[in-house]
Order: sequence, then structure tokens, then C-alpha cells
Amino acid sequence: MTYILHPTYVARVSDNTLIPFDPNNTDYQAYLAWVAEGNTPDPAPEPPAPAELTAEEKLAAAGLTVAELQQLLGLT
Amino acid sequence: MSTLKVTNIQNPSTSSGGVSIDTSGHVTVDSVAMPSSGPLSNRNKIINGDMQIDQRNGGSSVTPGASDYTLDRWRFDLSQTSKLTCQQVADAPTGFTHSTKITSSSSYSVGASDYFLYIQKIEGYNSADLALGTSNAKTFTVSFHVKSSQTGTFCAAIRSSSYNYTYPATFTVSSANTWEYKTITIPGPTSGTGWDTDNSSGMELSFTLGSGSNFASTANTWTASNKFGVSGQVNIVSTSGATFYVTGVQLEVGSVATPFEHRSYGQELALCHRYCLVYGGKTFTRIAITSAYATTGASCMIFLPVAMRAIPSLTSVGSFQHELPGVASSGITAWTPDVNACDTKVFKFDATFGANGSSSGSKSGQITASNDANARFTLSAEL
Repeated sequence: MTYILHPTYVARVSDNTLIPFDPNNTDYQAYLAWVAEGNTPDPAPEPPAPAELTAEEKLAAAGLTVAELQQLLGLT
Repeated sequence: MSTLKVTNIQNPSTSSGGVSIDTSGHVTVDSVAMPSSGPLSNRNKIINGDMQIDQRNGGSSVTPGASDYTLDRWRFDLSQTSKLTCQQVADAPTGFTHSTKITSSSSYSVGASDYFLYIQKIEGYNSADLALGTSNAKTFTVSFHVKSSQTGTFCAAIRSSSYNYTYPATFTVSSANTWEYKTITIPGPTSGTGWDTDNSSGMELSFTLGSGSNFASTANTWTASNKFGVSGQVNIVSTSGATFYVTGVQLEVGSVATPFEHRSYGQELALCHRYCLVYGGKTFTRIAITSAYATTGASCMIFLPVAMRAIPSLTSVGSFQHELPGVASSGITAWTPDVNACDTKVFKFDATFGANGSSSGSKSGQITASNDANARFTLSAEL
């Protein structure tokens, strides 16, 4: 049995079950028993850095068009 | 006041039926046993005792892992895996439509420390009225229909959740491959621990499909240790191809086995949902509503149809996607449960997906299965 410890849950590798830190959850109880036996979960991999957005994507995310931005900045 | 002392009341023109009273005072009306104790409804503490509901496998045969659940509420406890298969089948005695079929996969020689159990754990809230482990413990009765390719003495057992107090009970299968009805009346245990009365396991009923000498004890008596077998019992796993069918399982207060309590399908399914919810089984099944907070992520919410026993674990199989109105869907690459925002009525999690077509700005969307009828999104709060 192998687990991966994430910040808000623990993942059981055998069936990729994601287990909340709830003391009433029997999967979590089994994980705690596994740790109590001297086992250590694997650390979660570092999340990938978010991709840098292009200027066009930033505009789209803000819900603006190029024309609207130009008007906003008084460049028209 | 006076007392009418009779054993039978019948119409003068009939020779059977009517009302009968046995030497213990138990009443039978037209051959149907009346409860000797407890309520007249919601008597059965077993959920899915008639094996109608199989959310996880939908009637497919499976080779269970060491502690896997199969049909709803029913799980295995196995010292060795790959020795048997389990399937919901449409083979049942009159009055039932389904049963559990367990088939031995080999002629396994059961070792002293081996065990093969088919179990239902009963939540403490549902067994609390039995007052188990106290001086007021109530007698209860287990009844079920069984069919097996093997004949002889079989074993069922009651255990506390801490496994330190058990009652191995025997029953006999007389005719091979024939449905037989069995009843076992068990005096309430007045000792032991692990008879919880909250949302933990209050007690468990098991059918022994094989067990070694380490777990054998005297039949039909309480023992302060972990015993669920008897010497000389039939071990299904020891004969390749041997079968064991069971359905109509009922556990009720009192010393009389009353007729199986057929709850409506909707009631039974709701009872099962407290412990397991499975979404999927067809393409594009809707699962959760979302609010996209980035081009590659969304906050997702499922309002659970019943309060689950605990905050559930999440297991997903197959492919899923995030959909926003007017844009192409994006395949899900990861789930992240948000336990701090979950409770037993709401399951909250984040989904990560590809940026293809999605947009940010807290737009509402949904999680669905992809074009994948085999995708399953399972929330489990089993005991």
C-alpha cells in the first residue's frame, strides 16, 4: 500500500482514491493506521508553474477587446 | 378479567391458517410469524438484504480485493485474494429478484490464519436500540435464503467492530443447488467493546466462505475473541467452482424471524446512498456544477441526495470533462477534494483541466463524463 500526501487530502495509489482528512472516513482511518505502523506517505509532486498568459489571453480573461482597452486608455 | 388459553384459533370450516400461539407465546397469523419485539416497520437492520442494488458493478462479476465492497453495503474481508468471484445475479427464491453469487476460483487449502468473509457492517445509529454490550442487550434474529453447490454445516457470525466479541452460528445446507430458508436467533451480547452507537460500525454480520483453525470456536455461543468459524464447516473456497448464493438477509430485534421487509426500491437506494454514490454508466452523465476560476481550473459542487455517513472518498475511473456554455469542453486532468468546504451533505472539490476553449471569470459550467459510458465517479463513505 502506498499513499501520497497532498495539502488537503491523501491519495491511495492502488486505486487512485482521494481521501479527505475526515476522522469518520474509514479510508482515512486506514491511512492513519498505516502511518501508525511506521509507514510514511510519499510527498505530493510540486504543482507545475502556471503558464504565462499572452497579452491576448490576459485581455480575454479580463473580458476586454483591443478596441475597448484602447478606448479605456484614451488611445483612440 | 380472564385469560383465554388456546393454541389455535380457526374458522370451523378450515383445517389450517388462522391464529397459532406457540409455547413461548409467539403468534403466527395465517402462517406468518408476528414480531415478538420491536416495531412493526423498519425492522430490518440490513440494507440491500435482497441484493437489488449494485451501483459499483451493475451485475458484472468481479474478483474482489482484500476489503472491497461489491453489491451495495456488502463487502469482503479476505486474507487471500483471487480465490473467489462475486456477482449480483437474477437467481433468487420466490418473492425476490436478485441474489449475491459467490464462486470459488480454485481448490484452495485454507490455512490456519486464513479467512474469507462476506460482510455487512451495520452503522451504530441503526443498531443502538439493541443495547449490545450492556445488561439490557436484546435478542435478535437473522434470517436469509441460501443456495449452494455444497451441502453440510456452514457458518455465519456476529462481531463487534473491535472484533473482541463474536458469535459464530451454524446453519445447514441440506440439498445442493436448492434455495433454503434459514433463521438464527442470537441472545444479545452483554459484554465486549466496539458496539458503537454513533456513525461508526455498531456490529457486523458475516457469512464465512472459508476460515482457518485460528478463527474456529464453539458454535452458537458468544466468545470474547475473534471467532467466526467452527471446526468441520464447509469452506466454499476449497472446492473449485463451488457456489454460494444468498439473498433476503434480515436482522431484526426479537426471537422470531418475520417475513422479509420489502422496502421500496427508492427507499433502499436512498439508504445505500448514505454510504456510496456512483455517478456515470452512460456517456456525458452530469456530475457537478462548477464555477471556473481560471482557464484551467474550476470549483465544483455536488449537493448530495442524502446526508452521507462521513465526508466521502473520491474514486474516478474513465474520462471526464469540464463544459462551459459556448466553448469547447476540456478534459479533466485532476481532482482536488476541498475537505474544509465539504460536509456530509455537500461535496466540494476543484477540477483541473486543459485550457482548450475554457475561460475564467467565475463562469458557471458543469462536470460531465466524457463520451465514455464506462466512466465512474464514486463517492464512498462506507464503514
